[in-house]
Amino acid sequence: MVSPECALPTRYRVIRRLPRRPILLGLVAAAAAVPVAGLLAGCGAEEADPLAALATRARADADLIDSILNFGPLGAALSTRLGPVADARRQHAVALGVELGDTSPTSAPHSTDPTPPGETDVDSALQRVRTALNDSARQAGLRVLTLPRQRAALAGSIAACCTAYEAVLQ
Amino acid sequence: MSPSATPTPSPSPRPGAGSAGSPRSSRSARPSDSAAPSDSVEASSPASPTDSADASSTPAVEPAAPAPAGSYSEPPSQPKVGQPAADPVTTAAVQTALGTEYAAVWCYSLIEAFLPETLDKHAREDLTAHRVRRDATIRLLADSGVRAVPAEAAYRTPAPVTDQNSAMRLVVSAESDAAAAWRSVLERCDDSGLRRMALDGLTDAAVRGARWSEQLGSKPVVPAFPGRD
Repeated sequence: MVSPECALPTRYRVIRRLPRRPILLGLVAAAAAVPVAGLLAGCGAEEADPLAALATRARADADLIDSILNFGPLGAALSTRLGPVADARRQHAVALGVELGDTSPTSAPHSTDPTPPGETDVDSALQRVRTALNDSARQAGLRVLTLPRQRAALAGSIAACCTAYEAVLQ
Repeated sequence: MSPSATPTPSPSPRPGAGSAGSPRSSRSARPSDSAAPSDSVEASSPASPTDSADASSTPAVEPAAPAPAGSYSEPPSQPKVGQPAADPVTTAAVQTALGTEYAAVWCYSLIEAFLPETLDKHAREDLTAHRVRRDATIRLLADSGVRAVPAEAAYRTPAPVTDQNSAMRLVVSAESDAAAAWRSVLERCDDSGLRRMALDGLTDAAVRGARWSEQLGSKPVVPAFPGRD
């Protein structure tokens, strides 16, 4: 029985080498989280609660997709592919709202002006959504590093969902 | 998924498990990709990928044989001098995630025979990705003075694998298990480095699961909360 350890190409050992440190130690983590949070705070205008920023972003993505789907020919061509993405982003906004203790109706802060999409062809519209999802995944992924555990897991699922949709919208 | 240190088989055999194709009872100290059976694997009860959704549920792809009692439930810890012991809750979650990586490697090895060449290429890429993450996880544990749990010799699939579609459904389940396990690590650790690794594990599993789901034509292609539902 050949061990996969032996069969694995050497390059993976190098590329994926993790830092040799006791990464599982909670005490170390608590100390490390403080400076990271300080760096993030300086990254620009953030809302008071980092989850609120994620919720705003989720609603913005859903609104972007709605505006594309409401644009006649684009909507007909893309509703099957983009409809579930908008649904997922709305679910993200709701879940984040629940975590924030937001009990207002889920559809409340909806943009009133149906912004016409800047592109009228399918490829450009898809690219716009992919870019938005990529930004959203990065934003949520950064939060994963510093949020309390349960919220970090929520942000992680949101980041993973955005990245997965970005991948299948190629 | 339970954060136990050892992949936990269901306490009683699931319906139909007795007719499993050829479950191996021996345990190998190392995962062996070549040990994956090439013929159809009989299933236990059907399970959807969502069966493994939350942290307390059982993975869709389970070890075929129960682990010998106490064999690796308390891995001998050898922390380096001057270091405190690793957090047991975090460690158990990482061990569980490692178990899903072993299972995924086994599943991708199994399905190769059922896929056409174009899809087989993707399966091989995904297999490699799981091996890399498996090895990185083993190193992570070793660097913390923890012995990694070994792979099971074989796993019970949630449904029989007999053709291309059932093969793809199996790896969708395996990716769902991996996503749930890595999300569970996020719920049980504070270190930003480990969180980055867990986020990568969760995200990569979601991406691979989405591609196979798209190939299958199942909807939605991506769950709204990968690892949770």
